Amino acid sequence: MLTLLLRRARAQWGLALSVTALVALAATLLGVCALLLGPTQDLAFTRGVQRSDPQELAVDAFLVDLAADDADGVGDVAAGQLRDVLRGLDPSVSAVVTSRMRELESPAGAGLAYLAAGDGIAPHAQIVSGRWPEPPGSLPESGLAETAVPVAAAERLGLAVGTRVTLGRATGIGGSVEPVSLVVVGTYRASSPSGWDADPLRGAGYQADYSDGSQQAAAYGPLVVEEGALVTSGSPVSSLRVEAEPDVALATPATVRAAAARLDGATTLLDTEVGDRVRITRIASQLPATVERIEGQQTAGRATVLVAVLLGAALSLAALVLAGRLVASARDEERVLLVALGTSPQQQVAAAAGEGALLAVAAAVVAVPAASFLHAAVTRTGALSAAGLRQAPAASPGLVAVAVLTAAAVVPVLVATGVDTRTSSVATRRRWALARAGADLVLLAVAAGVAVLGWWQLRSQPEAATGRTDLVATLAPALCLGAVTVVAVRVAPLALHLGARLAPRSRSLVGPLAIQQAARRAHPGTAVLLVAASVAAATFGMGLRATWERSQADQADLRTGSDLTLTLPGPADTSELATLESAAARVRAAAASAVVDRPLALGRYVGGAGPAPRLVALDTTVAGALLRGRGAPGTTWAGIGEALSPGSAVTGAAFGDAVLLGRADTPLALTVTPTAVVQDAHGLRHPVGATAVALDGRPHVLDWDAPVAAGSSLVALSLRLDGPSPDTGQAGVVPVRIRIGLRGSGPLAAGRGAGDGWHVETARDSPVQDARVAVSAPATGRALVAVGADVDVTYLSYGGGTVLATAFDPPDAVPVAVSSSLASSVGTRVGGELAAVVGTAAVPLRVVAVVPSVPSAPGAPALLADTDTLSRALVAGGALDPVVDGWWFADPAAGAPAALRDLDLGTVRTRAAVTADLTRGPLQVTVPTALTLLSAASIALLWAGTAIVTGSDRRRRAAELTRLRALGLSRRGARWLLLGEQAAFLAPLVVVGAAVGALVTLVLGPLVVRSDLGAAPVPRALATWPWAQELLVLGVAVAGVALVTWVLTARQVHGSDTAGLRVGD
Amino acid sequence: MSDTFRRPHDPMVVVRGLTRTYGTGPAPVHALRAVDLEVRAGELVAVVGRSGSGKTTLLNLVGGLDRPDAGTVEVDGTEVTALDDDGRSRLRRDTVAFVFQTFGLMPALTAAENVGVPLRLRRTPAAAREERVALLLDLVGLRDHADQRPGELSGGQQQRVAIARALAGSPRLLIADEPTGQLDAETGLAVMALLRAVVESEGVTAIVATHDPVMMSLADRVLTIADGRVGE
Repeated sequence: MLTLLLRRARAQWGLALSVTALVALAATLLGVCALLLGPTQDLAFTRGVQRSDPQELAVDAFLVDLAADDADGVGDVAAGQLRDVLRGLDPSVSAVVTSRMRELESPAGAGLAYLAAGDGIAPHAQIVSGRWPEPPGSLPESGLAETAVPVAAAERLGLAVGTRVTLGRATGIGGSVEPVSLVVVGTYRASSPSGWDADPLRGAGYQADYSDGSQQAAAYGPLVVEEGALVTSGSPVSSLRVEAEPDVALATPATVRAAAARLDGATTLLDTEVGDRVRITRIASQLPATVERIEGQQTAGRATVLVAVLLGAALSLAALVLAGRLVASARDEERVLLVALGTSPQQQVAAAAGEGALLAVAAAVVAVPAASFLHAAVTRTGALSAAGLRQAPAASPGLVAVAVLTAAAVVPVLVATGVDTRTSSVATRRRWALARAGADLVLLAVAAGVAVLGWWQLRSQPEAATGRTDLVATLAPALCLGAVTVVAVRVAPLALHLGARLAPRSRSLVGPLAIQQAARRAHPGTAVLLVAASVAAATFGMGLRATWERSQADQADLRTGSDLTLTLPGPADTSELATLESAAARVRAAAASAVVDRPLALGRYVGGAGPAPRLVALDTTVAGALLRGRGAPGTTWAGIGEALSPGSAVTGAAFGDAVLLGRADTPLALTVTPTAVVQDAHGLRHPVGATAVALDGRPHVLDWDAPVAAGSSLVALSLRLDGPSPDTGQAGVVPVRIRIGLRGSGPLAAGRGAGDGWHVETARDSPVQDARVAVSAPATGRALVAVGADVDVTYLSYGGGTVLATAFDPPDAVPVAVSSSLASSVGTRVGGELAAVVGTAAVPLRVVAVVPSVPSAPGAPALLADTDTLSRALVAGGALDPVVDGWWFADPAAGAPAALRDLDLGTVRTRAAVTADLTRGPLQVTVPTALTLLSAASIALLWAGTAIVTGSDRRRRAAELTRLRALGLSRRGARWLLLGEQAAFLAPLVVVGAAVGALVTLVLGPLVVRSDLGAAPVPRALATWPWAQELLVLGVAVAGVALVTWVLTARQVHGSDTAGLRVGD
Repeated sequence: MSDTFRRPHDPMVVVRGLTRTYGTGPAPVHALRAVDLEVRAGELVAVVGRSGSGKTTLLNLVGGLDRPDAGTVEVDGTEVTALDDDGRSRLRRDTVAFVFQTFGLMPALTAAENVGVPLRLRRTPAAAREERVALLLDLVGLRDHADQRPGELSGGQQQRVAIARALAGSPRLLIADEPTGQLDAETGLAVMALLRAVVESEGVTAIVATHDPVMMSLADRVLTIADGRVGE
């Protein structure tokens, strides 16, 4: 048997070689897929871990309430525990000890402050001035312990390098009573929100209304000191935080997953080890969530890759079946002879299986190294290499298994097609013929049903990520494409027959004969399907890739909101505005805006466990240029911005040096504390305070507590009145008149700023009533603000009273555009009213538009507003602090993101980087690669299928061509005839395939695309048909087919010249 | 090809010193050894001989399907052995026609379309082609089978279609290689009678390789070929 097989293979080496090549090609392609889904995914996991924020991988131990003396010992225990959790990842361990709150003894005011020490602070903070504290051994002459204070605290407490600060009694029971004085050697700010989650103030440095349960006051800190200084300060330790950061260079899927698993029970273990030395212990980490996120992203990407793999596998199987049928066809005569000689069906099966096994072994031997090298080459291409997924050639067990199994699939194919059915009985053959005819109809019906079901399955996918691969949804594209192809290829013969009907009218031979031959000859159904499905898969691959990439870009647009964003660690302080504006100016963007981006307390929100609504506010006059992300059809961000815009800008009065003259018709010593809200040249507003002055009828030069940039204008003035308790006879309502003369450095505000439109307001229950305001401009660069009111001095002594004058009318409601999820959640629509609280101020909102998503908050409940309008509403509500959480830029100058990042002001994101991460990140890049590979593999299988079909045709039609040559057909004519016939056969199938590819792309493409986390993409994916790439794919496919056909027909024609013509018949 | 009219008894085919050897080495096969012969215009010549005697080789060389190792072949005044590939194609298209033992019809084409193939090769206008095809199918008695494909015709009918196709281009020389080899005796006789009739009616010269004694009896002359040599 073996001898027969080997001799036959030698005799038919061309056939054996082409079939082996086809099987090897299929096995190679699927082998590459196995490597992409195996080692490449493992490496992608590792790269995903390495690209994660260190805080997402860190493991923290929190130990609350312990004695200062125990801090070292407990810290060592916790560090050991964390090292054990992260074993194999060589973690670096740091710690932060935080003291309990102590009363602040400061001339700037009462409040609380606390100390912190340890090597875990500096990595998460940035020195603004001075330096970090040194150990006590190197203390300066003063002998005081050194401290570095947060910028926010320093500004409010008037601290600077060289000044002193004293902390008094510790809060709570058992606190220290001895005050401790510190000398400030530096100021710092938190460099990012991470690393501060154990800090009482979360790294903000200041909180106006901090409460530790025992008392509520303004809190400042941490005042960073050296560890020894904290111990000697006598401060009780509030908490000890030990942080372990793994070395990501050592990360592998196994070590990271094991570490995440070890976190279970770690808290209990630590609790046992530290015993009663600590009241509360907890080990916390985002590591399990990070692993889950990465695995979720992998699952999401893998689902799309599997779509490509399944299509490739289906095509490969079709190619194998075609190869088997053509081998069987080539063996027809030989098989009949063998049967005539008495070969039994079992022997036929054995022969076919033996031949299949030999082919499979040969193909697998070729496929394993070929797939390994091809995969290595693919990983060295731009996208995969850039994502850090470059790999050397290697044969994984998965590759070997897939290659062997694919190659082995040829065995049953050869067995199934290699048994002679012509020796069966007539009845059996008739039954088979009927069965085939019936099966054909059933196949069509099933195909149509499968296509509809597949579409329905994809359409019914859940919006949220499931974290697992939906098998049916993964199979659906392949099933639909196959089913639609099965139905659509029925059109090809109709087109050919139509062409054939026109043939008799021609006088030439080659063209009409080619069409007639193509139309009337029987073509193997497998070949027809393979050709059409290959083209369909190739075009679908390109179309799905374009759709996927566009969707990822759309998602990146909406996630980022603009081209470049800067997110501050916390709301900007007044002192930071100038720095931020200077940094923003250096970006040299086409459009820029300070942005408010923070959670919002919304009265009617019923979100429950979901995310809190977000407020995004920006300068809506540049919304069209600034905002990114697809909105609702027919709308533009410019249009929505126009609806949100406040209209005319606030100009106010020129601001500068000021003299206040106040008078109250009472002998009581009333004082006024003015706070000006100034608007700088960029339109940002911030408060500037001055010390209290007496209403004694004399002029007082106001000492503003912060410098104000030239060109700023006064847009609001808050006057806080205070007074002592009146004696009998002094009580009652007295008129108060206050005049403030301003010498501005900029042009005097005109129009409303000159007096018109100023608005004054007092609280309903305030002792200050009937307030009035008048603003005049007696000379260029000067302004005079006159405020009058009636003050009930009896009640004034209890809590004071405030007059607020604004250069604008407080908005009745802030116009907002709400996201559709928020609109549906609270049941509002255009024209609806909402009540929100921003910070401490209640802000009424009016819905003027409902948008699918608010930029930077895709799919989330969110509102979009104008910063100017929002600021007016907040100022009018008494919230004078600036509202700036970040900055957005459109079309920034090259290098601007890096420069902005170097300033270390906050988190810098670019739309391009997010797009790149979503499309070419290590966890995503296999998707476009697999889809490109699908197109390439489909074309390769098309070429291989064409070669084997044309080769088989060549053997079958040698005599026919010879007869035509004998009739006088020239060599050139013969060549064109064969080419024309192949073209007539293939062209309709290519057209049908391309049409199927386009149809499936348009209908299923958007349904197949998911977000990087596996959820439905926001915004919805739109089908994209990349004409240039599709034409290139079709061009390459057709060119390859033409080349293959040309070579084979040339050989056939040449053969007809020599052996064929000589034999004659 | 000569443009002058060739009168009866003028030689249509002149073969001089024709030699063809297959294979090389120790056991070459000498299919033809310096064959000389002439066939006159309008003559029907039967070539007989045992299998492997060189009949088909002789017909292939005369029809320009093969090239000799030595010697010359002249058909209708044209030296076939001096023609290049295109020239030989033109010769087969315009001057020589073949009838094969296995009919050689295009299975995808109808009988009429098969007959029309040589006319399409000459780019004959469709109307003239259809007229000529109808005439020839009438001649071979298959007008009613014009739209049938070869698979739907009997062997005799297929061979008659093949003869009609051979005559479609109005050839000067008809070469038939065992035209009745796959037909039963009765059908073979009818085909041979048809061949004889068309040779006379169309005025063509015919060289027919055959084993059939009836065909020999219908021939004007019988050439015997044995061991690569031709004799009468």
